[in-house]
Amino acid sequence: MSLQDSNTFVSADTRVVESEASRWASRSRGRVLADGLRRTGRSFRRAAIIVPAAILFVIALVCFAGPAVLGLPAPATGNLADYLLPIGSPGHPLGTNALGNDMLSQLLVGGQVSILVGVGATAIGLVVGVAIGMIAGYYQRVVGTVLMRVLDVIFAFPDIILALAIAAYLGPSVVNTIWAIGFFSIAGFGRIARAQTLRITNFDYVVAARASGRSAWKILLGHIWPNIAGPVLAYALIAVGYAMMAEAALSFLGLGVPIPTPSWGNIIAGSQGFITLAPQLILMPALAMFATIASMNLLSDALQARRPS
Amino acid sequence: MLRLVLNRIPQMLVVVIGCSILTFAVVNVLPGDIVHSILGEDYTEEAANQLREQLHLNDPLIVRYFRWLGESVTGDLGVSLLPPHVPVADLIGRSLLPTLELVILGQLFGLILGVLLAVISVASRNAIVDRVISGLALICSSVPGFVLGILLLGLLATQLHLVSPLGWVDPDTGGWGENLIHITFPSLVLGLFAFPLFLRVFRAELVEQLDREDYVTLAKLKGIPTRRVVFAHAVRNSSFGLMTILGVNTARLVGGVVVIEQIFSIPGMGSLITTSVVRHDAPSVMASVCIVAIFVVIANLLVDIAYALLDPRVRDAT
Repeated sequence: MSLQDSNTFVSADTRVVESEASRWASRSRGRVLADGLRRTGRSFRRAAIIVPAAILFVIALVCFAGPAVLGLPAPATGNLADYLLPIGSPGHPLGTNALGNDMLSQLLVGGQVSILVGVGATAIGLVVGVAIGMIAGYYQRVVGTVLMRVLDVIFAFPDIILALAIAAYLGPSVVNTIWAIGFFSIAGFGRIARAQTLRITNFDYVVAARASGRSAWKILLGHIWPNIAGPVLAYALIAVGYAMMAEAALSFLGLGVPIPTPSWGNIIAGSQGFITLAPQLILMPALAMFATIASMNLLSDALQARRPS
Repeated sequence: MLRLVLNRIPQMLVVVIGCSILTFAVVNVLPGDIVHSILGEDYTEEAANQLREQLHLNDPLIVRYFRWLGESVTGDLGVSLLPPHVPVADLIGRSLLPTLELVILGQLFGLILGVLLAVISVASRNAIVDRVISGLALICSSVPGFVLGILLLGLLATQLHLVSPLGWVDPDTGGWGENLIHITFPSLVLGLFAFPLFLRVFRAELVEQLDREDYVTLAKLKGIPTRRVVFAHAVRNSSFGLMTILGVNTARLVGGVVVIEQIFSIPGMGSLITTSVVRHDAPSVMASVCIVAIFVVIANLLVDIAYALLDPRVRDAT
């Protein structure tokens, strides 16, 4: 039964909404996907989005494909005799560090490790945090309160200290660094997911789905997640940058990625003693890190600005 | 007011106890055996078992946790497991002052810098000034605090000899004047790490006040210049958001302090936690992490109290 059949007054607005809705409801799966892709593609035409996205793409491409394409030596196979060569030396375009390792190779492989830690830790935080947050927002009574108290504990706590303890007890390695940082990024995702879920749970379509007997599991994944994904993913970009900074701090304290595996953080930490002799050893990884994290922050801002809420 | 404090105390207890459980789990459940660290070269199966018995490491975790909790609540924080076996309370007593000074001064510098730059960028009504200031904030929030610290230290201390690379002078031996001079530079670095959040929130709040509020429109209609409206009205009405950031930033800054203390060789809580987790010195880790948690929770309570005192809307709501 459509709205026109009833004898009530139907405004033009309602009719427009209704026809849009019926068209939307009768779309095929392929149409839905095509519409989504087109909308995503259109948003990429804005400079505020495309510039940082392109920078990130180039950085990732260069870090992951660069060493093989350019035929660079492995990062930790330098000759001690070639120590601290300046930028532009033959065979070492960005010079070498105190151990004679090629800096370009160190930077690119270090970038791989930093990006891996940032993305990996954020993925852990996202999956666990969003699951906890959505459940806490959906079951607001006992379960929600208990879960939020647990998250509050992690959130109230200086995260780096917890990561420090976890990393120290697990022993320094790339995987353990990811676990340590991932653990403390859970709370941030949990809070955002819960706040967004609370906003959505009382919307008519969720209430309708609940009334029609859909399982909570299906409602959470099918109705709530698609509607909170935007803000959560925008936050995830910031969280990746944050995790990369945490990796740098942990590596600086000697509890992050262990040498000889390079990461932007431990290159900076290892070069601290050469700040007067060869400041470029610190400046280059710092610059790479700045370009990556700043692009993520800008991209996140631009994506959020697109949404009215 | 009393009700606010009474309401918050159970929550604070939950957070502190939660932190202690979490730390206890990290220290005792994750691999990394204290017995190995203590015995070192002398490790034999027999000696290890004897030591485990002596340290009650064979008891169930729950029993050990509650024993620790009971002893801590009665003021016995234990003795460092590794030589020179200093009582943990002494270690913490020595390390609290530097960290407190750093966090308080860091917040202060961050607050001043953030508010100042926000007011400049809004009151100037100049797109270039605004861009430059938000660019500065982007740099400071996209580079890890310790990188800024190392670079500034290299530039100002090693190259220009403007500041001392040593961040800490004991006020008992060097006097409070020396102490404050030395702690200022590390605190400034911490302030650089802290200010972007203040700037962002305060700027957004100022802009909103200027765009939305009726009293601003009235003032404009009366012909009062924008600058005076900003300074005389909007700044004061926008300052409540800053209080919240003060609370959020405390936990962030305590995290930043860990690294800053390492760079400037300051013997504070951060250094204590770093050395004790590296040495797997369980009593020191437990006590120092919990003390930090207690301080963070108290700082947040103070912020809430200040908020309620300043803003009648909050005061009446609680």
